[in-house]
Amino acid sequence: MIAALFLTAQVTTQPPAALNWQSFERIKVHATLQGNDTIFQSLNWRTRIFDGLVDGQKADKPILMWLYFGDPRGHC
Amino acid sequence: MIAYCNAGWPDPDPDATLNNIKNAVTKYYQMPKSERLLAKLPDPTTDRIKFQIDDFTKPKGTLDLRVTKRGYAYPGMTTFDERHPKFFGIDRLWFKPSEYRQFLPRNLKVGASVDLNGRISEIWILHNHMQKAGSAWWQEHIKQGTLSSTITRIEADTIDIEIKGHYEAKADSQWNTGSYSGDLLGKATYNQRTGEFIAWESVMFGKSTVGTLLSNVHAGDKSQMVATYATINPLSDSDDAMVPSDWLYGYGLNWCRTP
Repeated sequence: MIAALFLTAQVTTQPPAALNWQSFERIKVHATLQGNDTIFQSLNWRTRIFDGLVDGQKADKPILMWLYFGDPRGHC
Repeated sequence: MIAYCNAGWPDPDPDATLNNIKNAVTKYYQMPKSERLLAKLPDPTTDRIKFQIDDFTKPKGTLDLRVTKRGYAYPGMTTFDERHPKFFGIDRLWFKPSEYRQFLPRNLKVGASVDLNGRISEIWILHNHMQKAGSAWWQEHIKQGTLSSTITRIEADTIDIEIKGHYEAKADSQWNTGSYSGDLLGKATYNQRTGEFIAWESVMFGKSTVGTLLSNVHAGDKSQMVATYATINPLSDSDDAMVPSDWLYGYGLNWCRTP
């Protein structure tokens, strides 16, 4: 429920008229990660396939490979 | 064995995805150990493929900023389009000591200011630290770019600065015909004794406009107000530890090899 409230707030927040020290905090909060934005980081992701393969083999566990087309930060 | 687990489009379906993962794990353990485990663990010294990114490292003393960004609601938006405010962007912005020292005016007294030019000013646009999506920006696309730093307070070893900027950009390349108009405002604290910034908070706020709406990428209006926020990277998870997304073409190997 808390996560849902955060999400609703981010989606419906109206932008201020301009950036100044009065609106700075509001704009900062809008761009700041909230609620469950980073819940996916609660896992210990390996950023190299090789590291995941070695650790998976050691633990006898399959590898969950999360692929993005390009880059999760916005590049196509 | 490879199992496809993703489910839901454009909104991910976590229940269906979890079910797919559980089914894949079950199939994995149904395989005999001789099939699912290698006879010998790979050796990092001989079996690991070396990539160019392995040579891109953070220079000593680098000011490591984490940039988070999110657009505001715009007409016709849907979650098909990554500009939807449901989605955030996260990246890193690195300044070497030789670069971040440019934020300090030559005359270290309250009220002194310095205009910042070149890479340290342009990087905010060229590396998309002002908008949610990634676009191909070149220097000539920045029609107006002003960035300045002013000392607001000096106390013992610390120097507080205020950073102000304004940008007007219009691209006209094969890959990008978009535009941006916005401002930057921030404050930071520099420690003269250690020679590093110990606090940094800056915000960019502006109108980002897509040049050409693409049916397989966009939904809704061309324009959107966007907020971005840069602060000292907390290095709290594996994403924070990654290199900047523009590491290859925006920074390059030579950048990290020179002070």
